Amino acid sequence: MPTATTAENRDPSERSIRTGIASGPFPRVGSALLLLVLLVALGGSTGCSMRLRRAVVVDDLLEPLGSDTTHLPSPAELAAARLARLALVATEADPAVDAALANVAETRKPGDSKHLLPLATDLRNTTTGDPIAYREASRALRKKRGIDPRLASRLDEAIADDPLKLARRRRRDDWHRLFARTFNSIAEPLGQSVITGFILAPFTLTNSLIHYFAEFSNAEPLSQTGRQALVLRQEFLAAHPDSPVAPEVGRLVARDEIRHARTLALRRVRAAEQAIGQGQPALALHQSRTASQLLEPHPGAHDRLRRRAARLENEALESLERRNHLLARALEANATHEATRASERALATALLVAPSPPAASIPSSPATARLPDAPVAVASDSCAPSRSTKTATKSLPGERSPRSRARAHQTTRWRATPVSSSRTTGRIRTTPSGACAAAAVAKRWPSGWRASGSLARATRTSRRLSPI
Amino acid sequence: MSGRVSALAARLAPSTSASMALAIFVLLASTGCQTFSARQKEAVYGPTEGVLEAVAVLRRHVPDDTYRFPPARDFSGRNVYRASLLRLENLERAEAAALRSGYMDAVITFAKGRALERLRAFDLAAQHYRESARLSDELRPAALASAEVCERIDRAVKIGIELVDPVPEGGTPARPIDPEGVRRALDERVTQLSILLGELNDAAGEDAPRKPAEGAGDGSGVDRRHYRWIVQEEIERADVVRARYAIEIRHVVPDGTLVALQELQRVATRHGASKNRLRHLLRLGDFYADLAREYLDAVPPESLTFDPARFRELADAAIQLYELVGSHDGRPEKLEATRNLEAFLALTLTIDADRYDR
Repeated sequence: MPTATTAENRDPSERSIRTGIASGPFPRVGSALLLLVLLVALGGSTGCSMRLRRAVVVDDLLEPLGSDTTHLPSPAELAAARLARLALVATEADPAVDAALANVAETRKPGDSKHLLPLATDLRNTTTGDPIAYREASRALRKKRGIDPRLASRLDEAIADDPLKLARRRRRDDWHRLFARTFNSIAEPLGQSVITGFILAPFTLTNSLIHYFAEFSNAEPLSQTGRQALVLRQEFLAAHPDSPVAPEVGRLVARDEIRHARTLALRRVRAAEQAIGQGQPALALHQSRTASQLLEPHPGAHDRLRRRAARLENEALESLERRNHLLARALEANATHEATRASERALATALLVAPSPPAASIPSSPATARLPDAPVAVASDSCAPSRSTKTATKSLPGERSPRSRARAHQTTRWRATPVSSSRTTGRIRTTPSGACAAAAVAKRWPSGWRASGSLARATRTSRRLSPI
Repeated sequence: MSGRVSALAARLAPSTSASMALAIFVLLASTGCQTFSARQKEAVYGPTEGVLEAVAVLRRHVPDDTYRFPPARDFSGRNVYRASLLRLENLERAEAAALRSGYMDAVITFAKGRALERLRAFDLAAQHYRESARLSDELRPAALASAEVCERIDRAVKIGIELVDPVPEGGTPARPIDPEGVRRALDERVTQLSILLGELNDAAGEDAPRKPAEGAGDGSGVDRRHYRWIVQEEIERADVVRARYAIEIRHVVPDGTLVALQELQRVATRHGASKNRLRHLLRLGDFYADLAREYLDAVPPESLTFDPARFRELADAAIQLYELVGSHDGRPEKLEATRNLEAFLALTLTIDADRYDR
């Protein structure tokens, strides 16, 4: 146990510090105070939380169970029950309900719940049958002191559930956003140019302002928040057509409906312009027609937009007609030339009666078909008549003479030349459904191969495409 | 040296203690504020403290036109009638001792009747009204009048077929293939409801309802205006059931598709003022889209019998309806319609360009 003697044996400076701290104003009294405050804080916070979360062991559970005693309602409670009965069957502004409420106030005693009268008043207010009147009454009730937080929050919700007020707030959001954009368009370039000592300020400021004004061209006649406000006002008008403010709200709704139609039509027109630019005339036609339909209910307004939609509709129709003409032309067929008719008929007959090649003869990869000593194969793609010709030549064992090999080799080289260099090559290549298919089956049908050759020879003179 | 240190400590001590006290005060204040704020936030979620509160919430929404506007929801997003019914039942359980004397029984029973009739439990509502009429002289006229209306509605809605749970535990019973009989029954239901609606409209057309007469059970002088919306909702439901039945049996009756289309159009045109009008239009659009899909399945676009004009007729109708619904702001049907439109347009991508203009 330390004594004064042992303490004095320590370093004097340390002792003086300790003494100074101990004997100063902060010392034991301060520590005790600090401890007390901390305890109070801890107790306070615990107490607060205890109100929210009950302990596991509740004192009530430890009390012996007794028989329930019937609660005898007080006069105020009986008056409240009568008020509830009358309120349930009352119509608007029933004086009996007011009298019952007054009776509740009169019969209330100190032992009764302090929330009884506000709740009864709120119940009376609900009998007005008019949401606007109820909101006004709730606003008045909310101003009273000592209202239960639960009732207060419910009243706040009822007061805030005002479509017109919400609509005004939505419109105010528009102005707020405009102010923020304007402020940012000036403050941001100025802030950035601080680093450069305002040397670039004129450039950045000008650039920002140009963008600021350019954005207005993209602005819609009725903004997103404006549309929200319109819906809220329409709801109010539908629910309260006889309200005193209904004419004024109706005027705002009519004005915004025109803007709304213009907004939707403008979107359609822009979509139509984009569709025409992307070569989708049918979509452009649909969008432009829809734009015109949207503008129909407002004949006196949006003439320019209506003309724009009509012009787009005409453009779309013309473009659609042109496209349909091209599509139809793609399916047309030219008459066969007299000179090639016989050979074409022979070739077509040969092709139609030729058996299909077995699946096993199809090469696993196109590269193998190009090899000179590759196994017999038929080209699967229609744009490779040379390959099929070559393989067809090799596919006939009986004809594998050096002469035919040379011819096949020559054919390979022949294919390697540009299309424009050989008229025959070009002719055969431009007739994939004819010569290419003929070559594909020629390995099984020698007469087909011959027919293909005759066709190739005939086309040197005809210059006409084969319709086959 | 030691003297300077001690003097410094002496000077520092008061300021340190003051700052610490300030810190503790801030801590306490913030803790207290947080607790108070949390309580304020949670106050609205607290249990109902009395019958008056539950009755006030319900009474506020009794006159609501639930045919034209969606039913009100409370702060938790629940249907206000369902929430009120649950709160009243919980109050009966939790405050059994306090309510044992029965001074609030009539009020609770009547209020439960008001909630039940908005939840389509008309028979239960009528029972509650009868009980409240027995308990309270003040409530008797209104309770008896309400019980009578509820019983008439209940009798009417039990006529004919009804929409059934598609996945019940015990299996789905087969629909009767008797379009004429079903239509006749549903017409009878609508007729009865229309007669009741006419009576209610006549009563509402009179001057302000008179004060309830003692013992009057015929409904005279009792405010029954809110039943107009309930009856209109039931008529709308009957029309929807009829249209749904026509859709269900369209493959087994001649010209079933045409009849189903007419029924859906009938619902959409007859109930243009309903809160479900966009839903009806959406169903019609879905039906056109289904027909277009069925046509594509039956007659593939590459086949020779494909008729582009016929397909375009179906597709355009679906697209127009989807676009119409999708142009309504502030409604959940808007999202559904725009997504359905995208899905339908994706379907048309499989069709040759010369058979369907995209």
